[in-house]
Amino acid sequence: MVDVIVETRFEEPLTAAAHGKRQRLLGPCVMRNDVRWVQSYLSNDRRRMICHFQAADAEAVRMAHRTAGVVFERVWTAAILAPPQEEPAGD
Amino acid sequence: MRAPQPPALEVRLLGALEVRRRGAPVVFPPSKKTRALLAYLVATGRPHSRERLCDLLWENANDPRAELRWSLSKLRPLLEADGATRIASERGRIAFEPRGAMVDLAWVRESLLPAAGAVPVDVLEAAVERLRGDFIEGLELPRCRRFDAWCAAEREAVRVLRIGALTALVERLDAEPERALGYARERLVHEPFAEAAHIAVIRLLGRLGRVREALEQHQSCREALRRELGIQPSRELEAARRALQSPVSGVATAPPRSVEAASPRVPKPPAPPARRVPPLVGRRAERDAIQATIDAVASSSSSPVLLFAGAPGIGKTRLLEELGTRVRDAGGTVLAGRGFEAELIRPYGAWVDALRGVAHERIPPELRAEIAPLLPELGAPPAEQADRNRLFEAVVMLLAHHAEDRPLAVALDDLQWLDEASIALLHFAARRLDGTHVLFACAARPAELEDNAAALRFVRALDRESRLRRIELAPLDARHTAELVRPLGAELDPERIFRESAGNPLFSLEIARALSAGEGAVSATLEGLIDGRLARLSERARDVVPWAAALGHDFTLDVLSRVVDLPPSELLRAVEELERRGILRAEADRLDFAHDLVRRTAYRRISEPRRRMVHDRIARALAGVDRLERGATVEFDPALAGDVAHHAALGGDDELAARACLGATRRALWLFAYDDAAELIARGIRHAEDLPPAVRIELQLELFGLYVEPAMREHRPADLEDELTRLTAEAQAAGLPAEVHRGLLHVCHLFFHSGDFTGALDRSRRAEQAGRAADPATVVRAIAHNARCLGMIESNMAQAEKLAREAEVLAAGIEEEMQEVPHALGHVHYHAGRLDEAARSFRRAVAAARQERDHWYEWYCLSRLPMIELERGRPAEARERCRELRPVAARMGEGSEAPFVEALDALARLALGETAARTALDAALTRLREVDSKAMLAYVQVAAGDLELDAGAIESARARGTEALGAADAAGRASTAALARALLARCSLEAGDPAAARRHLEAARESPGGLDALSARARGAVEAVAARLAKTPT
Repeated sequence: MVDVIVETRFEEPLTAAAHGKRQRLLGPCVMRNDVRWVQSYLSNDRRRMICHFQAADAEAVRMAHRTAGVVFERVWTAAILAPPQEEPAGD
Repeated sequence: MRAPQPPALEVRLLGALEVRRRGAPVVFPPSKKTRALLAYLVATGRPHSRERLCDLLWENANDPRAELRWSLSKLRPLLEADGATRIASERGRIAFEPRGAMVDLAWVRESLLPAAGAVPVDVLEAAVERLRGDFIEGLELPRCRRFDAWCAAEREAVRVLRIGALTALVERLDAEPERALGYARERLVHEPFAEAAHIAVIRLLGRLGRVREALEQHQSCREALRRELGIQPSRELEAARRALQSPVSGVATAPPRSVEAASPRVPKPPAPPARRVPPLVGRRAERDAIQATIDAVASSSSSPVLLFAGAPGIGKTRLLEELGTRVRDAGGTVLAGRGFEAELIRPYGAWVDALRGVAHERIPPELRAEIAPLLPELGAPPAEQADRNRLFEAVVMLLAHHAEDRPLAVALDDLQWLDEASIALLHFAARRLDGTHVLFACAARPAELEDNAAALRFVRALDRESRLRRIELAPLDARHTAELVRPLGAELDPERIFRESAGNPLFSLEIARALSAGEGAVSATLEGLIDGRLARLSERARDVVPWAAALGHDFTLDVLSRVVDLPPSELLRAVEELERRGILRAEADRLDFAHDLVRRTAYRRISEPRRRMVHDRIARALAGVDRLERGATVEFDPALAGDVAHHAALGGDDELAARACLGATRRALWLFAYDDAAELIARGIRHAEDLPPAVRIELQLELFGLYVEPAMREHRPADLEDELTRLTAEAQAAGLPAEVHRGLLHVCHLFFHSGDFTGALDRSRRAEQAGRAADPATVVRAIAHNARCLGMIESNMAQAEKLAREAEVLAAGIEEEMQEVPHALGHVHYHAGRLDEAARSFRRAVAAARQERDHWYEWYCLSRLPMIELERGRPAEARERCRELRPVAARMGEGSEAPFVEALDALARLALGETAARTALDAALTRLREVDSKAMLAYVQVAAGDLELDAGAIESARARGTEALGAADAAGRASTAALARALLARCSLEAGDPAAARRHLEAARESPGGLDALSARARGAVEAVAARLAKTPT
């Protein structure tokens, strides 16, 4: 499994209803392509969105979007970089 | 008479709810729900769990327990007297403990307990007196269904008690026909269709020698039975009539006038015509505030929101009208709407009415489609509804457009009854239009505002922002009351009117009307006065009133004519009379009651059985159905579905009510009125509860399915999945495959939205199986869709083939070409190595995809063609297909499509011997790696490796084979992985390492599902290498 990022840009701010529709369309296709949606980030102006998926490859995510007719700007495989985990403070 | 002494504490449940301490009324908290709680605890007289009380009154509250605690804290001090506390709370159970408190209903029940014959007449009379008030009058909570159902049952029980007491009295007063007649008539009011009640009146009139009246009574009973119930009079009724003429009755029997000649109740002289709008007297400060607000808005300096607050009848509506007049005088426009108390759910109802005040031609063309969801008469709404804000924004733009150069007032009356959606729009508009020429004015009853959370939030928010100009209306003083009633008659006694009305203008006007109609004693209540006024109408007008009252909100003459059984000319005359007498008022083409209290009083006059009949007929007329066939599809005007649901529910037609709730929910969702949608779903489900199983399952599945909409997440019941699963199982047991399919799909979507993809996939598969019994086109599409998906990811191709073949057979009976069918077949043929057929199927799929304007599927199916040509060893044709494919790929934007075409073209050129194509191939492969398309990368590398190995480049071919194997494995493409292993085995053989070749072949044979699961091409490649290996000496 790799981490896949989908970048999307919207001409009009993404509304809750439009987001719901994207989810609905993408649902079955994401399932069939063995794609797992991890999380998404929507900009405050609701015009840009970054979605994080896990899948066999970026193509599986792309295909899920294509077959569902859900538009995206870019799909790419990513390495996750995160700050080192801090040890929980002892008493 | 056992008249009770003023007790320490008295709770009155009959009539308006009242608590008296030593005879003095105590002041209630304004919340209706708190009063309802008190009534419930007192009337039931037993302990209740907190859960039950929360369910009863705060079902949809955020924190029901906190609401209950708050209400109890208000009730406790109210009921304290003589040092006794009366709200007991023990182990989570709450009870009212009388501790000597007197409860009127309990007293009546106890008094009437002995057999009627044993109850003394004075006690019966006292009981009847008490029973004249309805059970907790005016305390309806339409949104608390449990409470409302309980309340309706209690009222019915009180009605039965009342009729029982009256019947007993009539019998006991047999020796005093004059006295008995009053009670007999009273009983008739409550039981207008009970023949026995009519007979008692006829007999008493006969005994009193009032034969003509008795005959009229007989005739009116016959009429009522025929018209309302469609039945013939009984023998008893006819016997009573005959007895009137027999000497046995012991009265002089002057030959009666024929019934036809006896004019059917001559109406009393009409009251002086009521002025449409009563004069505005007094209210100096209020008028100044209105003018100051209009001036402020005209200068765009600030836009306060005006709120007129006060008790019913105090004159709020009149001040809104005054504001309207002044705005119009200043050249401005007024848009007016109001909330309605009835249990109606009309999302944006008040706004729809208000916006209808804008002439269509004055709505800018670019806004028409945007506003159309609210005003369907404007034409088609936008193809895709984005969200609530877009609709709100359009309304704001429309208001701003009309307020560019002159004032515009939006006047919303009865704010306390506005629906959540209307309040949200009002709030939005008031915020966005601050500092413009738009003025917002509302009127509300403060006590009832407490029960409308959305309205309360709106008022508080405006208050915090210092934008609310709240005007509390006080009663009129004696001088102004006299001024108000003077036009109704110079001889009226204004001081008496002021004393009796306490300065309430509506009350004053009603008293004045009653006095000027010649009534010496006037009722002590506003309702009583209105009741009297309704009783003085002509019979024709009186026939129309129940229908108008039951309609619940303003209506057109057209709607009225559809429900009232009167010829148009008669109806028109009746409506004119009602207008003249100030019962109804007309605004443009709509009619409404002059005051909501008039409507309520008129509605209360309708007996229970008649109400059911009236609502039933209204529901049918609005739905345009005469009789609902079981399981019939009813196409409602979506804008009327809410009304149909309301009337069908009250009319007792559960199926029509449930279907209408479904339609109304869809409309509410479409208008983003989610609170209303949730309420409608819950009602629809309840109505469907007792329907025959097939209809119930269908309706409940549809209704529960509406909760699955992502936007309804907050409103979903916690056990939605269980409900859907239970209904699906019931559908299965009842042999309803289409419903099973629907149920599984709902669960599938529900799982998906909650992130459970495994569960979702499972339900999707089962839905596909269940879908087989649905309509042919749905079946074909569902089956082919699954086959295509399997083909695209090269998974379980045996199943894919079965499904695709089945879809192909079934599709033969359907005219429309579905892309899914040839597409799925293309994969099946390709997998089986039938390349010609595969090419033909994909061609058909390309044509169908073009027809459907589905570019990606067009690209996808077209991209299979150069692959097939390459595999058939026809590189020149493959290049042709690539030329066709290139522009389609270019349209797909950034992704794997364009590099894949370039890679296929480079492979074809290499196959044609163009070694220079290697650079293009490597560039395309780099792009495929970048975009991380492992399946494509693996396919191209296998083909490229085969070509290189044929040309003797073993190491380069091995490197490609190794990359192909890794990519194919990662993407789960077993056939491509086997092809890569076959390539690697060949490389090993060429390099003289048969052991390594054998290992690759072994691994290929061990792929999931074994060799049989692989594509014909992969199997062929593995077998070919195996055959070569067999010939190689070890």
